[in-house]
Amino acid sequence: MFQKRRARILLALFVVLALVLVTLDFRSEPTGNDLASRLRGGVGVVLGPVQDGLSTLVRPISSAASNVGELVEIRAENARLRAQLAQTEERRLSYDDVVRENDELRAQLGFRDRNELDTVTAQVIAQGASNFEWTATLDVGENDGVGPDMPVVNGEGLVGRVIATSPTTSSVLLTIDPNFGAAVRVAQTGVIGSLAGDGNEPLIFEPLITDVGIEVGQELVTSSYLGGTYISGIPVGVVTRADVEDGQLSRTVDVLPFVDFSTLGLVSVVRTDPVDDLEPIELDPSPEFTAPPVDPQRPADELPTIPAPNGTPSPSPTGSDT
Amino acid sequence: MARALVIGLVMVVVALVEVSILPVLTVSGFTPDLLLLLVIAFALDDGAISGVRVALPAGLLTDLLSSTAPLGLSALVYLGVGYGVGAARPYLAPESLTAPTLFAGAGTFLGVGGYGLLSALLAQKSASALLITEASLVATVYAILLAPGAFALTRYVDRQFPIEVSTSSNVGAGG
Repeated sequence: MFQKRRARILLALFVVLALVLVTLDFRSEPTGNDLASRLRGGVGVVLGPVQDGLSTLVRPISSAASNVGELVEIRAENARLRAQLAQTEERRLSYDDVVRENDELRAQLGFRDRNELDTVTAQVIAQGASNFEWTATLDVGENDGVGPDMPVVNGEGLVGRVIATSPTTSSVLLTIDPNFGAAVRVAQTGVIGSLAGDGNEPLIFEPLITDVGIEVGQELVTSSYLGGTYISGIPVGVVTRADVEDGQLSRTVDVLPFVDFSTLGLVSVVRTDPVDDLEPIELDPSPEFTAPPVDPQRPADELPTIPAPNGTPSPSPTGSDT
Repeated sequence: MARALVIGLVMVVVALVEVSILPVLTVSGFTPDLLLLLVIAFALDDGAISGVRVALPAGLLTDLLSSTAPLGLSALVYLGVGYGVGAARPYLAPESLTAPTLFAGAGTFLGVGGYGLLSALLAQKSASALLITEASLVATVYAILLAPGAFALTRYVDRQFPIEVSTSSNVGAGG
């Protein structure tokens, strides 16, 4: 009986403590300097090297297991790639001209060349501690110039974006996380919309306009507006389902990501400059009214009037002069 | 004191294994919740007080290793599971392995499902009901498979670092 009572008291105390922590975390602004961020940063600094070591130990085993699994697919892929190579060889002749033209157009539009981005290579050393969180921990942090909201890519496409940093590690929200969101466009048609993760399921693309033609097999790339988080043109995934349902206000399209998140290894963090907040438009609190010029030949009874607060029309500011 | 340090060390090692090694062995993208299983194993081995005492640091460690969950949410869920499983311990046959293993599965299902629901409600996560159910079921299967190993670990810790029995309390008060 005594034990039960003691356990209940302990439980109540700890539950209150946990609730206080949850409340404090909710009330604090996610500035990177709040209690939870500092504690997580400290844990990252302490456990980061150990995670790096463990990851180095496990990586060869993981690679070997992955290679065995992929052996069957390699033969078919080889044949497909040979066919693609033949096609590519035909197109290569016009490639140089297209590149030159592209460079000129990009220069005219002031676009940054995505092949010359400032990136830092990183290794994934750990993944999210919860089954409802699709994040990865990288072995680079603030000391390497990594900051929040920087996009993370690999050779296949968009991996995610940095959400938290410590001096030596950083956390990346993967594109498959339900809390992930990005502006994307269909590469072939330019149809724009928003992309969101759905756990281990395909990504969800919601086009801005619902009744546009989207077909299975079309590819999605990131879209940027006013220098947003993502550089324009990073490959995201391929459309796998694009059914149109009548009467729906919004349309969802399934997208299979190019990146294989089960074998994430080396990635690159794109060191973009932080986006400046747009300055608010300052309105003049007491604007001066300047009356438009009035035709002196116009009769006084035809001049427009300004209604007074009591309902009676007041004469035009220039009416007395005419 | 030595027992608390050893349990703390075990928790850190288990957490590191969970985030660094187990992602390689995912099933449908879900991984075992080893820290929750550890809480359940201690609760089944030593009782509700031990379950609660292990649950708080284990939950906080999970929260600190997480990037998006609010600090204290896992601790809240682990406390509920640790106390519930520990309170049910007197009703289980002492030498049985089946009943504790099933309890580990049930505790994990409730813990992972509860965490999914709470994070959807409190942290405004857009985890769907299907996603929560899938994660809970996969974690439950993992827990049932890994439970004998977790029980062996907690029993080893109990043998090597037994709970110190104070004059005013009985066995089962430590953690």
